[in-house]
Amino acid sequence: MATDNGDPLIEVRGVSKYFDQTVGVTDRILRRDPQPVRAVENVSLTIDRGDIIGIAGESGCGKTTLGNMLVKLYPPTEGEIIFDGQRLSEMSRSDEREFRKRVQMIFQDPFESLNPRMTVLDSVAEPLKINDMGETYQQRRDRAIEVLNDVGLSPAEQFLDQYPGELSGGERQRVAIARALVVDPDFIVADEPVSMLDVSIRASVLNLMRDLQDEYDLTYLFVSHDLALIRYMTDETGIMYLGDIVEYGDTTQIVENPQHPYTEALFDAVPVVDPQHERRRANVAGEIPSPRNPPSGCKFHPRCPEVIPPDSWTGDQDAYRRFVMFQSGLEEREIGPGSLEGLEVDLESDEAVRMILERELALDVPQEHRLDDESPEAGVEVDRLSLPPEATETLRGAARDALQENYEAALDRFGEEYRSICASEHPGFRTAAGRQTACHLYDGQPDESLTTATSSADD
Amino acid sequence: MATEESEFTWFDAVKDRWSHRYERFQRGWGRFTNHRMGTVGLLILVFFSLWALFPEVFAPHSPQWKAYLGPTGEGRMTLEQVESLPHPPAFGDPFFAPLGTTDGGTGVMTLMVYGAKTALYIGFAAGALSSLVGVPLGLISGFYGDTWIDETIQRIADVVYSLPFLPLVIVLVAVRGITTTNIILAIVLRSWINNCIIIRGETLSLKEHAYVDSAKVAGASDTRIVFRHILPHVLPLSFVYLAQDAAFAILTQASLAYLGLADFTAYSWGLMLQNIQARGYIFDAFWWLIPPGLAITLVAAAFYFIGFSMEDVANPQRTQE
Amino acid sequence: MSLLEINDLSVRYRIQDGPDVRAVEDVNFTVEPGETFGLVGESGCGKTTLGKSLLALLDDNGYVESGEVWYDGVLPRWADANGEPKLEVIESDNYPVREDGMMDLTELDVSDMRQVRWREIALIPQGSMNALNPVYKVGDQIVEAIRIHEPGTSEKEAHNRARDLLERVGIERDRADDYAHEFSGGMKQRAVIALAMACDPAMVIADEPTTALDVIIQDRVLDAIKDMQDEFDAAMLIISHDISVMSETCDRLGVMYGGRLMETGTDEEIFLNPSNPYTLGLQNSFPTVQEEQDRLLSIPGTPPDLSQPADQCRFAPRCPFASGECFNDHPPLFSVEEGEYGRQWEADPEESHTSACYRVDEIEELRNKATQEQTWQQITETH
Repeated sequence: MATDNGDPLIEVRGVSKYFDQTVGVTDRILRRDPQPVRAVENVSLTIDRGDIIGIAGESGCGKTTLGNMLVKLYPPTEGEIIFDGQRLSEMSRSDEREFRKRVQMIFQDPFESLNPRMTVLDSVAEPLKINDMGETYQQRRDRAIEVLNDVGLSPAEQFLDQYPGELSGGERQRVAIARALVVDPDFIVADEPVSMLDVSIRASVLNLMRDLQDEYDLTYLFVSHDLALIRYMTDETGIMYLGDIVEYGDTTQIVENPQHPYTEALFDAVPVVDPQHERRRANVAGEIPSPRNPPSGCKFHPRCPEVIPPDSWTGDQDAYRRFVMFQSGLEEREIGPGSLEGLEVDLESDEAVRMILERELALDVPQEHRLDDESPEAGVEVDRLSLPPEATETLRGAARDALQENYEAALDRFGEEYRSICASEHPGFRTAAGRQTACHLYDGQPDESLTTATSSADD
Repeated sequence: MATEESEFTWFDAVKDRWSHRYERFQRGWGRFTNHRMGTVGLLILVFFSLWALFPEVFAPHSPQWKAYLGPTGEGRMTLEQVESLPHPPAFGDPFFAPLGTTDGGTGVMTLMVYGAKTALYIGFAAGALSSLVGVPLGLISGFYGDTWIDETIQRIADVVYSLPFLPLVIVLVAVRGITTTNIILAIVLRSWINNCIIIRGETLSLKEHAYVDSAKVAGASDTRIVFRHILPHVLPLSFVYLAQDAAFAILTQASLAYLGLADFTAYSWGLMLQNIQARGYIFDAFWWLIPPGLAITLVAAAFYFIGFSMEDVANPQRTQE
Repeated sequence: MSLLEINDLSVRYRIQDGPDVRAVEDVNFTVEPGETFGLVGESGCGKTTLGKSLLALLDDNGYVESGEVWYDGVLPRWADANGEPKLEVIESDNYPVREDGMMDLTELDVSDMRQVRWREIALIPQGSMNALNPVYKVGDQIVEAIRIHEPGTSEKEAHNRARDLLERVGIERDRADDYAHEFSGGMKQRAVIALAMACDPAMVIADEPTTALDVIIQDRVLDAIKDMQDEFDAAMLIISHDISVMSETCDRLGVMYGGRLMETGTDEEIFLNPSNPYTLGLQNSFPTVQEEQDRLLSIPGTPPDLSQPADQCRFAPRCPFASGECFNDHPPLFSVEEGEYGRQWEADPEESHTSACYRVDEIEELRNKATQEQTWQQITETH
């Protein structure tokens, strides 16, 4: 059944997953469209046999959901996943059984992923039973012993009758790995496999997984938020943000020379053990927005330090960034009279407008990325920003409206002229520095999708 | 690879698989007996079970025995004798009736012993049936939560729940006749719902555990997941509710009997209460009144005690054995 | 003079069947005013217990078995411009006070300890996401802290201060009227920092302050902590297992294992010249984003059972260099720097870089060996 030609093992084509698309009664009455959680949006990638791929990102970026779809825990809402030439959505029962033997998953929490009432032997032998591998009890037991020894739990016999509660975290995770290996799979998805283990144990489990790759001829997909782990274990990585893959390519390259501003921020933010190293902190403001209502265009643009001003913008990029931030703050209804709560000022006065602008145009980022006398509580002086006069007027007017909580009017002031391409268009993949990046900064580069169609799968 | 045991006999295999389960049972048992309540409950049940199983051994007379008339109950009593009934406890003179007699001359103790069977039968049967219906439905409902399957089952449960109990029993009995079995059915019709809902709740939360996902990824069918992964966790809880249902059934049957809806051909404690009430001796014959009420209470309580202790045994806070 | 001086502190937990668990044993270190001290270690090493014990916040079955926690600053700090005490001062008649004015916190009774908490030493507990009471507005909780510990503050003033504090950590003023569940994880953490700073404490104890946070938010929170610390000039005791965070934020560190301090020193001393086998093992097992790593090492074995610790170096069973003496007694803290009489000079609390290892004078050699995998593999065979 295995195709041993150069075809990729796994192809992900335009896969999206939306959760919670149901429309409640209230929404129906109010005629609101459902706002599903857009966990994964239009993701494509290719995995070849023998690869070790990483998917990295912060919480809510969709990496776990993607991993779950790859092991067919639930189907994608849109798009297609193709495993070894076969579409997951078109598998017959027997195809699916084969699939289950070839694709396995290791979960994050080693205690949760093992049934506490089943012994180690039960848990490890279960996949064999389910897949009719190993006819007799004896055969299954032997295979379990073999696999337990392979994962370093020796002598295996002594572990067979133990319950998960009697094992340490590291041992439990090894049992989970053994269970994944017992059916001799081709592809394993590991979702945060060591994040719940002690630091000194992690290395042993990671090394184990590496060693096993040769022995079992495995292909891995690591899902993790731990960038150091990604660097250590993977050859290629995809960085995800709010359901999109924003950058994809060789791991070392991505770490050392990130192209996408989000990737750059991500790696900037990782603390470094070397005490003499002066690390540059991440230059990103705000929080991750809700996946139910992601920003338009490039999802990262409201927080992006390098958001692209349109040609008509006569000020500098830093000012534009703040401009965009202000606008997005209005959209989220975060800017308003509440920002001046407790400070005694007349909400209708110019004073109030000035105060709100000062506060809301200030960047909530580490000191090194701010202007000299800028601070979260004192704000930033509007005059010090290089804003075009029309923009300043727009901001003043909008601030005034916001103080009256008249958000519609406030947002109306922001016409099309100062709209960035980052807000209006979703960036596709461009090739930059040998990698795929979804960012308008590289608009001049050739457009390339990640699934270059070489497979024989029909369309 | 281990080379010591290349020959693994069938017996060894079975022993291997069941030995740790037996150990677990033993540990659970140990904890159960640590609770005085549960042990007391168990003892009470054992006691009454003996009565139910071997009535001839424990009852002082056969059911046909009548005061003054002897074991066959034939013959007629004198006016004087009749007026002495119901007779308070007598220990030899003029006859042996440790708990006295009813107004008809039957020994109360005898009736008590023979009535035990009905009580326990109802308790166990109703409890078991309730669980047999409620638990699977609860599992299915929970596992397929928020789908039409779940909705359907829950709607049915809602409808049945809203039916008033007593009229339901009366209707059932009117249609099918007054037998103990029918009474049991009526009771079960009501009590399965509780089981179902509780188990459904447990299942809903259990199925979110990562080991369920693991099993899915390994290829387990839904049935397998439900019975192999979820049921074992739910079982201890279901025993607790079984015990409660049993207690409920006994009390209900006694109440129904008191109201006159009982199988008159079987001896039961509830019936005894009904009789004493109907014949007007409530305030006059405490030896006839108290034992059945006491026994009903004790058995119901026994079931509750057991359930209570089992809840502790089943309590998931025991993580390390 | 140090702000906090911990002397031979031992903390234990009573358990139902069995000897008491020796969670912390014979720990010595100091925290200077304004500095950031870090307690590093894996789970079960006793660092959280230690942190809690400083403020008498142990669980019911925990107790301080021996040792003292000397704290400076209870008496003189709360004086106004004329030297008049602003607030109630702890009666010092009944408590042991040293000549230098430091007071032993372990001896304080409940009501006095309450005065120390929050005003002098604030705590940001582990899982502080959950430390915010869900049924109260966040701002109200800060207000409450202020008014309890600084009675006489008007409600209005307290509210304003609360909003100011929130603003300083980058949270909008009107969020003070929101409930905890309306805050994101990072914001909750920052709110808790604001709460901790509400009474301008001399010291803040933060237990795993950034563990559950995403990396970018973690970055921001660490920045906020630094800002607040600078502004309020507070000392900080950070407890964490995340070595990289500790390396960046702390001035001085203490490495704990099995309830004991294995090494102390400045940030640079410990990371550039690690001088304890456990520290060496820990360093070599930590993946870093900075560079390519061939192979990470791991320390085989598991942490010791603290209910019945054997009379030996706690790390000995897992240590590739353990020999002879190491199995007789847990080593005291030796000075790493060459002293007058050579290295193995038992350190007094003033010494900067110390290590609890009988073989500390061979440490350069051991350091080299520790970078090789075989060194650690051998342990499974010999022990």
